[in-house]
Amino acid sequence: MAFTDYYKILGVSKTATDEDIKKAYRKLARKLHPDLNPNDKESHKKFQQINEANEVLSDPEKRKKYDQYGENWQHAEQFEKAGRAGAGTGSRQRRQTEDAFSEFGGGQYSDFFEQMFGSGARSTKYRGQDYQAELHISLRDAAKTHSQTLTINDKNIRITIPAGVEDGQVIRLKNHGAAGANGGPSGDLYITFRIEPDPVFKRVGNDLYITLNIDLYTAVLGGDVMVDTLDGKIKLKVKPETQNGTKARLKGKGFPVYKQDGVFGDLFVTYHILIPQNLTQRQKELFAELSKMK
Amino acid sequence: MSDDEIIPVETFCSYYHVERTFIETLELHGLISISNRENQRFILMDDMADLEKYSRMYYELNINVPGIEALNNLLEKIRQLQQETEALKARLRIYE
Repeated sequence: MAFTDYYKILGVSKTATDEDIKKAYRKLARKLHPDLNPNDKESHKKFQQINEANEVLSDPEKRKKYDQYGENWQHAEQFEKAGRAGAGTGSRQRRQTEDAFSEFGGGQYSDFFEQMFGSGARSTKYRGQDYQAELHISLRDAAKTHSQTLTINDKNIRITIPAGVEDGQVIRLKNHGAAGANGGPSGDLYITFRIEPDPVFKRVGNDLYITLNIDLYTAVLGGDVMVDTLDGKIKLKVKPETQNGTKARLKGKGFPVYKQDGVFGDLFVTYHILIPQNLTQRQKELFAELSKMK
Repeated sequence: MSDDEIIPVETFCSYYHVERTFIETLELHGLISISNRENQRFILMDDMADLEKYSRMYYELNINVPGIEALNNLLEKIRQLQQETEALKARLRIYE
């Protein structure tokens, strides 16, 4: 377990006044506070460190003890042991409990802090930790409103997923995070949706894209083909003399728009023309005849 | 609006140890909505998470309300840019 230099963390000298420490902490907190750095784990980690440093250095008693033992904090542990008889067996449980607290009120404390100041060092209210979870769903499931039951920390949570949810979209379930401590409120549960790629459709926003193979004769002469949509197959008219790569747009046959009942994106069909293979002698002759008519 | 969707301003102030004027200033800057019912003022539960965040910015980080408003706008822009990045990544996957 490494020694933690709280002065270095806050960027102040050992002779810093209370005001210097307060200023240094506030300056760093404004830079690293989780509210200002959403989804930035590195900033959250650093914020926990400066919070811990501030808690020690802004408290005259803790600072005195820290200054007194400093790098020889192991001796402080021995020295304090007599006064904390019996506390050792509870340390594991204490640490587990603190793991559940978020960075917002003070967060996790280093082992160094634990060893030196013990569990009685804090009495502030802590908001419970926010939980982050990922939910992987198929593209076709994301196209319809449905319910799913998630198990988060042994608790079953039933959620309704509205049709049209996007890849990377986050929803918040209030108070479904870790319980608070010392009367603090519970944290929230943030669920990030991950939409699995579909073998048939590609999705961009609310539009769907599909590639459809058509034979050369239909492309040249026109005709009807069947195309997959989310609601099943539909008939599509191919215009005569359709070129390879041509796109057809099927209005309202795309993905449902999130939280807008009855509103859908479009389906774009890209034609991929298949050139016939293994031609018979007669077919070759006809193609040759055609080529002469160019 | 049901009772469990709102919380009296006074209850919030007393539980979180914040001043009424702070809540009023946030409302003045359009950062939260206050609902009036039977001569009492209520905070919407939907605003609670934001209100907790603004309280931390104000009391822990010493940022004044105009500063919070500016930060809020910038954070919203970051959120939109992150969403745009996600959408562009999804679009790029079409060509992969």
